[in-house]
Amino acid sequence: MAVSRRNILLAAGAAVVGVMTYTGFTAKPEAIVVSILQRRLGYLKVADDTFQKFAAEYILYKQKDAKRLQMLALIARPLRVVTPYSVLPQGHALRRLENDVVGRFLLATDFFQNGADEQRRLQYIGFFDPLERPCSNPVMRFANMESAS
Amino acid sequence: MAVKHFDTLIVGSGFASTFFLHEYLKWAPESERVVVLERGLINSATPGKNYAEAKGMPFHKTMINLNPSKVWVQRLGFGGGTCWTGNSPRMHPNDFRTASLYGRGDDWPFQYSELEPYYCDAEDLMGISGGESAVFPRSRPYPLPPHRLNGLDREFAKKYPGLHFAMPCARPSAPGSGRAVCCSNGVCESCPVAAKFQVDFHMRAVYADPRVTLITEANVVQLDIQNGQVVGALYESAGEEHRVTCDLAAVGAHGIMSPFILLKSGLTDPALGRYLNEQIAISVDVLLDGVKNYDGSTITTGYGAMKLDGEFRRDHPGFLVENWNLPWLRAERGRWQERGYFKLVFEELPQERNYVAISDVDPSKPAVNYVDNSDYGKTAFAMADSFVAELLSGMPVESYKVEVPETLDGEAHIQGTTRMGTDPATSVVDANQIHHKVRNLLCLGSGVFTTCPAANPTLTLSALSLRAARKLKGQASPV
Repeated sequence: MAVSRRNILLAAGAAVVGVMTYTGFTAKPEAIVVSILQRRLGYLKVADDTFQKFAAEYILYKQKDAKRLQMLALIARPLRVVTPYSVLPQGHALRRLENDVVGRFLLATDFFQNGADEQRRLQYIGFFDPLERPCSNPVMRFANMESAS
Repeated sequence: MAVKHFDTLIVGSGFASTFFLHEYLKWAPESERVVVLERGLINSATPGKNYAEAKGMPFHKTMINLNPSKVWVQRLGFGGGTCWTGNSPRMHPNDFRTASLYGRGDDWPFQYSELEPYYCDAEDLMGISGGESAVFPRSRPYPLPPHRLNGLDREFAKKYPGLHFAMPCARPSAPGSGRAVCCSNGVCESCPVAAKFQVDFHMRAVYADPRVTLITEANVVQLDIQNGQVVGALYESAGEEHRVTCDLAAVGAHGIMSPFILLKSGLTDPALGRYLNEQIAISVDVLLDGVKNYDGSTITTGYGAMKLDGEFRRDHPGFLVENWNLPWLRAERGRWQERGYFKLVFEELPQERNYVAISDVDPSKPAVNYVDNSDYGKTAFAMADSFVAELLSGMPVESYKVEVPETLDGEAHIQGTTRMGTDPATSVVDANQIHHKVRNLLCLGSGVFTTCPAANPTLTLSALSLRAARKLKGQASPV
């Protein structure tokens, strides 16, 4: 086969499709969750396996979305570097996913109990599911409490 | 088949039936015998996850929905619609006379002042948390103090003094109700600490009364009506037919099953099953600018009455603002809590064309035909953007997104199908909830609502049940 620009482009295209297909079949939905957390909260002090631990619990909780999350795992690596969040319209599915992942992660830790102090080492308490762990909403304040700091 | 006789037959065990029964038993003699026939089961699971998983009968399977784009939300079982979140606002005084004031809908057969003492009694029974407001005149204070507002509420309250305040609710803000204080779990349908008032948890004592027989998994097929009087009922249980006889009947299933049972019983009132309605809602996701939110003390912290009532109701529906406090955070460093979510819940005009009937396909089920919202109600969607822009103008808001439902959606407030009024051509029951023709038959629940106010219906239907029982017993004023 002649080495032409057309063939090189076709081969490159086929390679990209192949890699994406392979990734699509082998990607774990947890990957997208970990990528979002690394991109958004990488500066926080957490134990090495904390993001992974949360991701596993998140996928278990979102079982009905597992297929969609697995497809999104295709963009897990680039998402660690750059996110289109700020240019997407409010309410876009990807923005909602990032809000949900980041929000649920922070609620699953002692971040808010410690005044949202980024310098403190985070402790992972457990997945934020009030049916399993009642009265664990860290941002609510009872009627007789002072405002959050 | 042995036929048992009871003085009183009650269909359903939800708020409407239970509040009626609670009041009725106060004056009933020791010899009184009451049977309550409940189609669903008792959910005896512990509060929380187990309770949530024991959901009981899927509601959609109990009917033929002729317009699937309209969603009907309800949960069947002892205690009724436990999908209830616990929001308990009163109807606005002018909601009782929209025809006279604004030329819309019909006037109720009585005014706010008539229902006010019963509102107080219902609020006491439920242990409602709430604060004083000039919008809803009160003769007694709420049993518990108001919940704490969240950041967005405080901004609304600043902009609309006196018109934005704590949502009255059956989720305790403080000790004193005999239940746990709400800790804002945000999963009220299955409150894991049993803080929210529920019939199946907190009114079981009514059913422990020796005068009361509760039969669950009893599907009432029809009432036996002879010579203009209810004399009994036919019900199915475990595949067998059973009969009871009675001197008085009160039907308090929900707004779909109550008219269906009456239609199956041979009643042919022109309004029976018609005027099916519920509120219309839109939601708003807000990104706040420098305002930390979600620091309220319950799931729905704020109630906005800024556009609840006024001359504008001649042209478009009034609405209440329901401000939520679920911690839906924002993925932006340092701005995690600068986000909010609220709903606008609009009144609607009941229409004759929306109805419940006996299904031609399966006569054992109701056919539910909700054709569409009214033109009046549709203006809520048409004007949604301008309503929200006006509400939020001048507030510290970075951006917002108005979410108008793509289908007819559902508010879990099934109303209007056994409506109350003075004209038998357009209503089914009179001012005391007694059937216009069958004078020993009462209809209970939000089916009797003459109109569709913006307010969540549970408190009103509970107060109406207290009133109906007291009127029946000739007790002129609350004890």
